[in-house]
Amino acid sequence: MAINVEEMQKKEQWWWMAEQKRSKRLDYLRKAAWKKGAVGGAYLPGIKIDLSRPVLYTQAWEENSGDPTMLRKAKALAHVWDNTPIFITDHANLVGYVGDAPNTLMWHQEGLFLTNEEIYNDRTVIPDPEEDSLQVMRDICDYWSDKTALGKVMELSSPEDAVKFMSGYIAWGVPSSALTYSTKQYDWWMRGFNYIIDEIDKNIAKAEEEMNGIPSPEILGNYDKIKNWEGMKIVLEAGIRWAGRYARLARIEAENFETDPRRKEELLRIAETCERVPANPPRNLQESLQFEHFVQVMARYEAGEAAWPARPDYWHFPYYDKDVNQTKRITKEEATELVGEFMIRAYEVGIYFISFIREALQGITGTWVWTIGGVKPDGSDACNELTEVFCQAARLVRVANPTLSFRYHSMVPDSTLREVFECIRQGLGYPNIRHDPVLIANMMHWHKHPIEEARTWVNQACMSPCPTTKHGAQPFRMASATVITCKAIEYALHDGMDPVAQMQIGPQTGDARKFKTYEELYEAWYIQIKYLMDLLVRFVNLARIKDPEFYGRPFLSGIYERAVEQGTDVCNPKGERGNCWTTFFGWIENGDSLAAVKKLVFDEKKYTMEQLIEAMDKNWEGREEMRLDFVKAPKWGNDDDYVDQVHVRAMRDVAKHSMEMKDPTGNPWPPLPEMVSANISYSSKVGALPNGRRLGDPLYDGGLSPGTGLDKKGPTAVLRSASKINHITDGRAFLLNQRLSPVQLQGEKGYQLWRDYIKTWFDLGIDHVQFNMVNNETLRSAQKDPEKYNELIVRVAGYSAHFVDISRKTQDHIIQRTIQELGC
Amino acid sequence: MKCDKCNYEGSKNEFRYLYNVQIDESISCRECPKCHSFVNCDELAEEKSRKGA
Repeated sequence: MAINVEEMQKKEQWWWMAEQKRSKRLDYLRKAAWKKGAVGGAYLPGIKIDLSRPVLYTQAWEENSGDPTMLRKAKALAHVWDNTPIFITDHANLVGYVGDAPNTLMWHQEGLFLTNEEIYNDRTVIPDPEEDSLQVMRDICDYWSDKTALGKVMELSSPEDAVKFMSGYIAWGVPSSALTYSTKQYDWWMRGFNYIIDEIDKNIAKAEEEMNGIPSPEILGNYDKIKNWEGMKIVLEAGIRWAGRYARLARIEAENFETDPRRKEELLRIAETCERVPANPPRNLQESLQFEHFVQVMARYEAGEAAWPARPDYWHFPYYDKDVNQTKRITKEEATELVGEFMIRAYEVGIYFISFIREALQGITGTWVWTIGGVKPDGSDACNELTEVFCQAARLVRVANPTLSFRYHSMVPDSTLREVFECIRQGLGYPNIRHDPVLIANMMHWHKHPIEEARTWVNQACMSPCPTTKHGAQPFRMASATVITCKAIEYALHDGMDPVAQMQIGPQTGDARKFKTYEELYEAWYIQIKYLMDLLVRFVNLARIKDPEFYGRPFLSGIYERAVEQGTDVCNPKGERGNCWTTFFGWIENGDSLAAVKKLVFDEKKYTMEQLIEAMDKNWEGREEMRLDFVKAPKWGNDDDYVDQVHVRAMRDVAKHSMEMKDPTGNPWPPLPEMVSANISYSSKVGALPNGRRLGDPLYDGGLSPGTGLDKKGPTAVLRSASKINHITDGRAFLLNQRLSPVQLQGEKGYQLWRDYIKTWFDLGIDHVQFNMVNNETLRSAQKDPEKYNELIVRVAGYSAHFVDISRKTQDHIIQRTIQELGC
Repeated sequence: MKCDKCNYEGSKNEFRYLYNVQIDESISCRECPKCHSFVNCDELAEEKSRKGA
């Protein structure tokens, strides 16, 4: 191993370099954090579920059985926050944990019956003493067996839809806000919970006055509204009390136990911070970061929030600027350390995910994609000193989660771009780069967000931009509108039958052996894809409209101005513009498969449809020459119009249908092709395809990325293919993975090459690109000696993960990606 | 086919197909039925030799 930082830099030993460069405190906090992402679908030894929340929640839920959902849930959460054990880890300056111990995952027992069935049998996560815990869990599971939000959605949906959805072959995710992504309205909650409580009190007083006046139909809704407001108020007050418990604990430690004067001072500052926020607006950076952390942690006590939409450099900059530049209360180094700790605190947040969710999110606990850069509502550059500090802190703490997403535009300062590049060069796999003007236009096109609001956007999950405004912020988006789109090819070839599930899932579109033209095949495919999209969207629409009744979000409602103003649960779509999208897994396989059949069956007539379907049914077994012919047919990512135009047509047709599908706000469902690590977890659920793939082979890894290793004509050809899609009107966003050579991108010349590439990408109007910059030698060494590469990070798809935490198959697949040489 | 690790020998069908090493090449990963190790298989060469035989 190299011995000094310069040597480490030369040898690209970034993980050891970060260890040397970060402060002792940051080093301690980073190493003390528990790794809670599942490895190969299983949680690591020592990770346990928190039983305090399920027990306390269930007690209060039972005691308040006469209340409507919002009020009942608020009382349950308040009971949890008033009684769950709390702790402060050594050396921490920020507090608040999802769980009653540092090694715990949160279990939302009221959400998904599937999780309850699975968790009881997952012996790795049951806390000691096991027998006692199992008894507690049995009681909880029994109580909730017929009461979970998902169970209620399933009971209400059409049995046929439910069976197909639950088959696990066509969709990923769960239709309930028990497992959801919510974009927070910063300019509302940062006013402080006391301000919001005052607003609620005023609304209740006004509603009561109306109710005591002349009777009319208009005031009848006030009865429900008052209950909703009471629920919001209860939970916000409980949130303040919960923070107050941390303040008290910090003060007790400082005044009675701490002997180190410096730590004593820190503990007293923690106490002061938690007495100030979330009750009141923050006054400095520590309070500002602590406030956001409390809000995110509280939201996870309420629901299984699986994404973390945030724009930290924008919202926390005024406090950074005041502390570092104006009052000089803290130094830049101290601010960087605080930002590093803020990232570590997010890294250690963990929720128990059901197996099919964690298999597609290998190595992480949710998609914590934090957005930085971009523009202000007036269109001027929003990059600031804190944007760069976040990049610097990211390189020091090197966590796989959260990751950063950079909103690139033509005014980005060179110093900021260099910091972004340095993160990528140092192998973090992030920030990903997003085309700010294109995505702003995209939001205006699909959901009619006014430009000033569109400019506030954050990633709502991995990829989809969402405004953070009163009418633009979307409180509820579920991954279950995630379509395994390449199933449409299988169904078009098998008359709607799923050859892997052995179920008739798609509509009957005819015996493909008898198709005489490519158009017949295409039409069958289009019917199948529309059917899948409709089925999933029906589910999510139903789940959303019933969510206030089946689940309830009193806390989230309280931190949304719209919900407080209206007296509704935030998931009630009234007053929201909507920001839905259907995630497309396995999208590029569609165009590549259609083009291969077009060429080899209908244009060149080298094979018949009968031969093709027989080969599919045999999983290409004994037909290797034929398979290789189909693999060698034109493929996306090589600037070849033959195949690219097949893709463009398919994309445009689904975009047309997306405009027709409406969400509960009456707005459309644009498609968003991406993959997380589902290219591996669905590899055993998608059968053989005409692109040359066998059942078992990984699917392609992106949403717009060429097939792994099939992009043969260099990086510019990839970009040219990608630019044939209209990134404003053809969909919501498109994930493009690229691998670059760390050797080629060394030094100043490397930066210039990458910057030129980004300019080309920007000029072509592509909305997204992300990079892996780790060489194969390092990755193969990590496979051989994983214990030496614990901190090696790679970009998987919409997120990053530690390389050693992802499956062998995923590792192999990342190694297979083409390393592009820039400037060639 | 033969497993490099345990020397188990059997027909290709006995070695369960896992995934390919590279989609545009004929090398695949299969699983040894005895010791469950990964075994590389050249699908094209194997097919040709079977047809030749």
